[in-house]
Amino acid sequence: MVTILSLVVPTVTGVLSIFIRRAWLRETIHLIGSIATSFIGLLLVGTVIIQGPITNSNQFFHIDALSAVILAIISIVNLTTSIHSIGYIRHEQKEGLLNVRQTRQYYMLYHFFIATMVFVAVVNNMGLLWVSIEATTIVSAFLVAIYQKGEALEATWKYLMICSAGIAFALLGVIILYASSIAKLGASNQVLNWTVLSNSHFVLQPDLVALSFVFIMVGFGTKVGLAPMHFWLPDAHSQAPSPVSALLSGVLLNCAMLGLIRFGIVAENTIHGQLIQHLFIGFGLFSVGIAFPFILVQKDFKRMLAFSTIEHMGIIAVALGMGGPLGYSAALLQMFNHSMGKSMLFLTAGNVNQKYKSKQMPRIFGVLQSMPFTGFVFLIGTLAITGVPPFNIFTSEFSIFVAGFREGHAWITSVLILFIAFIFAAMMFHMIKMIFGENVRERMSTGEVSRWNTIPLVLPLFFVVLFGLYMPTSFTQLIHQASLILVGGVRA
Amino acid sequence: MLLQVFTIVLIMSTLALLWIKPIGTAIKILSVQSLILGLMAILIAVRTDTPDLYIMGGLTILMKSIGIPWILWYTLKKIGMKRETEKLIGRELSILCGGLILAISYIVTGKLHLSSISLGQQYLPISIAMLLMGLLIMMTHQKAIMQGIGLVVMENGLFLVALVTTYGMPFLVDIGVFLDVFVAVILISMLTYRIDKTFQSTHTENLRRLRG
Repeated sequence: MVTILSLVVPTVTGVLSIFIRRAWLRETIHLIGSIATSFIGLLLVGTVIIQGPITNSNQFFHIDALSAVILAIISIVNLTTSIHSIGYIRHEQKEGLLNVRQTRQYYMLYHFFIATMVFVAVVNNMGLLWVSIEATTIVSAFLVAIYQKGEALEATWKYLMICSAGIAFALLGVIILYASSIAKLGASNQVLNWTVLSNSHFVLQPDLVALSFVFIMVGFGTKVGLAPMHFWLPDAHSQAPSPVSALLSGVLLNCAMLGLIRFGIVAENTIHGQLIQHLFIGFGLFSVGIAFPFILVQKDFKRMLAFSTIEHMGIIAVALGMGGPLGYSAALLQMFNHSMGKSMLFLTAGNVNQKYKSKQMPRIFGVLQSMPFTGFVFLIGTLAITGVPPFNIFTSEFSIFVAGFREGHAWITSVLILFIAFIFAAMMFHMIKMIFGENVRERMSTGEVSRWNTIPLVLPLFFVVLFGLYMPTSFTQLIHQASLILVGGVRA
Repeated sequence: MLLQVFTIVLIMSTLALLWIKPIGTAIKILSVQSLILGLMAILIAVRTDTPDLYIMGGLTILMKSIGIPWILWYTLKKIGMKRETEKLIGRELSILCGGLILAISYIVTGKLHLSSISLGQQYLPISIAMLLMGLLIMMTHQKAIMQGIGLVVMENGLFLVALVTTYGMPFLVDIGVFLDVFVAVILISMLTYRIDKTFQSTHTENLRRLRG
């Protein structure tokens, strides 16, 4: 019942947003809807922590600890970005960059986007998991195109074409998996259910499963933004409105990663070989490696953040590949921590863009001086995302390194550490100039864009700082349960 | 027998998409291709007595052979009917690539051991070839609307894979895939129109500003 509500609330809010003409009423409903969505999401997470997996009567929905981690990410980031959206969209409207009709479309699509991502997390049937991931692509493509300018259209076109073509191969993988599963169980609607396929005693035809997983890895890997299928990602992230960039980077990629994890576990039950491990580590390491030169030469602020996202998705993939109980929990923790840090940074980037009217880093100086609060959050976010202690991402990255050495991947871990150190240097090089530098020619007046733009930043900031120092037991328990699902897949 | 004729028409229509120049004709070919696909689904439904497949066949004809071509046609009319395709590689070379893809599909699928599948071995190569040719169309064509058509051809190929290996995916999944494709085509049409209005052309050469 609650599960259905988690889908109905954002959908209804979205529909209402397009029909309501009064701006204040639309914003109020948008806020209430977002808070309700996040509340329901967290309620489901809480239920999973206390009572274990939720499966509704007809097996349509299934929420285990893995989905709960994603739901927690969706809920928290949604709360932040929805409040920030109000300030951001008001400002864009005032500047004449968006008209009233586009504003209404924005709020509608925003909630539909959230609904599709919640669907990814809660659905049981793995065919429908594919459908919902493709649906997230389409809905978010509308959002990336919202400015309807040349570059936004280009980004949308690339995003839609690359992701749809990539994910078509994932569907081929799903069909092959289904064919293999039918051979074992006979045709029925349950055959593609996660609750059936994840059973570790369920062994399918190995050659078919291996083939299917290669297609799925390429397909969902495209959506996760793993190199060399990442070309859509920097375009879409840099051209979307900043709250949407935060959602894309912080939530959407994790949803796609959830798909990859689920299919990976199913494949692992049949093929115990090294194929899955190697695929994850290979694509992951390549992504981290390719992010460094692009971050170094980048001029566009949001593009640089997008390449940092590719880096972090690579780190998560490597951690999932190296495995072991510690590796899995560290990977899941990294997903959560990265979402907090990166959504925060994209929102500050939005504030900076609106203030300086530019995304070009050489034109941005002295953020700390001109926007004291945003500058402060920006500084913390930069330190956190590059893995500086004592912030949250340091904790998870450090656990990944420990897990890597413990599982006997000393070389891979060393290379990973080396790349992360390079990227730290490259990002600092850009960020320090923006945060501390002083603009000599044109002095910016001191002041934030609006309170709506600054107050929501407190929420991710809280998690970034807190999770570096202390993690509540209920949360570690959730991560532990989720990693057990992954370990179970390997042990079988 | 009838199925074999249908698959031959399918592959010929895909090859024709690699050859023809006017975009209007390409849309018509796409419509015929989807019609054949729908009829195949219904034929298999009759033979195997699967009620779901009747609905899927009907939906394929309704949406993919009438709905989607209509949307594309409408977009084409808004941006000017007399549009021709433009490609990175010549028509002769793309047909050659098509032949190559077909050969590779036969070789690769010949090595698969699909014990459970009755129809599969015979028709799988054709469907894989359709999928890959759809990708080829997307990669080589430079007009936005043709890239969209390539995407629909890919989806048609996937539908055929599912049809011949497992008599279609579970019903809800099939419906979901349909819905996704349909909305994607609406988005493609919208974008094509916007791109045309912004750049005065639907040539994707204009979409080269975001780099690095």
